Amino acid sequence: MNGRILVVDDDRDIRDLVAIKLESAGLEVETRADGSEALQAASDGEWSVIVLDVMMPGMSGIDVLRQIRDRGDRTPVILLTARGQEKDIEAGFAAGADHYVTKPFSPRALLARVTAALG
Amino acid sequence: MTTLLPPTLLQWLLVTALLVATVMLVALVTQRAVRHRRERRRAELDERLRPLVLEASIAEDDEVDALLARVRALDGEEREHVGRTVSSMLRGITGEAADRLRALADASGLAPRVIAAARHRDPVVRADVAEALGLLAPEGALALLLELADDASADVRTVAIRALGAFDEPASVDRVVAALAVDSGIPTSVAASALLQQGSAVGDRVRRALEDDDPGVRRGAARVAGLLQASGSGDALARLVADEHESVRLAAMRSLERMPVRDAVPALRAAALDGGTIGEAAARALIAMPGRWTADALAQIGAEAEPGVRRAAGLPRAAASA
Repeated sequence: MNGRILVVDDDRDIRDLVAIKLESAGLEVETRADGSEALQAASDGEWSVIVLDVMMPGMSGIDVLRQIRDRGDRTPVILLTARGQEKDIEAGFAAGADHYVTKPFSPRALLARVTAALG
Repeated sequence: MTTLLPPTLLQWLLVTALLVATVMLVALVTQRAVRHRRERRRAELDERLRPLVLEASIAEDDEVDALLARVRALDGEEREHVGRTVSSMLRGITGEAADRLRALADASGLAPRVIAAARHRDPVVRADVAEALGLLAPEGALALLLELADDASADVRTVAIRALGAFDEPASVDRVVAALAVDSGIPTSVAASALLQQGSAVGDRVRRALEDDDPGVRRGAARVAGLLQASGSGDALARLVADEHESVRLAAMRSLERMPVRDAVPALRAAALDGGTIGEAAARALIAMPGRWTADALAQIGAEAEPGVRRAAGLPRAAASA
């Protein structure tokens, strides 16, 4: 499988677990730990899919997504949301998210989502 | 009038103060050095052992035994570090990867350490134990969590109820439902999330909880019924639209947005015409239902309801002023 994936989460465990799962499927993965780093990476590189955590200190994933879309960037974005936070899902779709996965999640299920987003 | 201290006493006091200051300085430096050394050691262990844990999360069936053998061969401090790392990682994931990590935790000997600390005198430790029991689910975890759900500390009880979400056995479901009660001291969102985590296994219990005497239980059950799309709960939800407690009515209406029930339409129409926050919630539930059920009700709301309710029903301005 080919593709460059940007994984953004302030939780190091999640970043590492997602990265190793996606890499095991042959994808190229880069990780970022906060919203401003994510925005920088999104504008610096060409990404096939962005996996973006919603709840991050400082700039939230929704804010990052809004700015990405405002620039005209249509890269598929999968949001990682907390269980029971339906408002985040609504806000995410309103901001231009393509899919969402609820934490805690199965890395295998996330890989399936990423694969689907890659088309 | 001032009294000068004798020179020897003054000298003795100065020396004592100097000694105390020196001891404090040495203690501070030692404490920092110990902390620094501990952090450095932890970083060394992390650098060496974290890849092993990550590798386990994606291991194929035929690779697992070798990984577990590697963990069993580690020394005590290393196994403890593996256990800590696994516990931290388990908070974010489920599925096959989580099963692999649980096996690794088992090989590291974490479960017996956690169980042994379940009755620790420090509530912070007991809360950590409750969380770990939910994540690791070792044998005997459910019984200990039910015990911790009645702990003297409210924080421990809350963590235990959250952790019970990992168990869908009847005893666990019953305890979580009981935590929805108004006077349980457990935040409703925690108990409701735990019920959601227990998933489809709670359907029957949620249906019964919709009829509970306690309004907190009815409210939580009403909230969860819609999120779980609990079949057979429609009639009870329709009845709760007219519950004596406003929070129960609101929860039922939110669930009816997700799970339309035709029999609820008359009660929702009446609530919408009464106006206020409840009226708006009723209007939102109505517009989520099939138009052929609600056409008459929405026409009446358009003609008679207050503006906020008409807006909530998404009625166009012309209809609203009709």
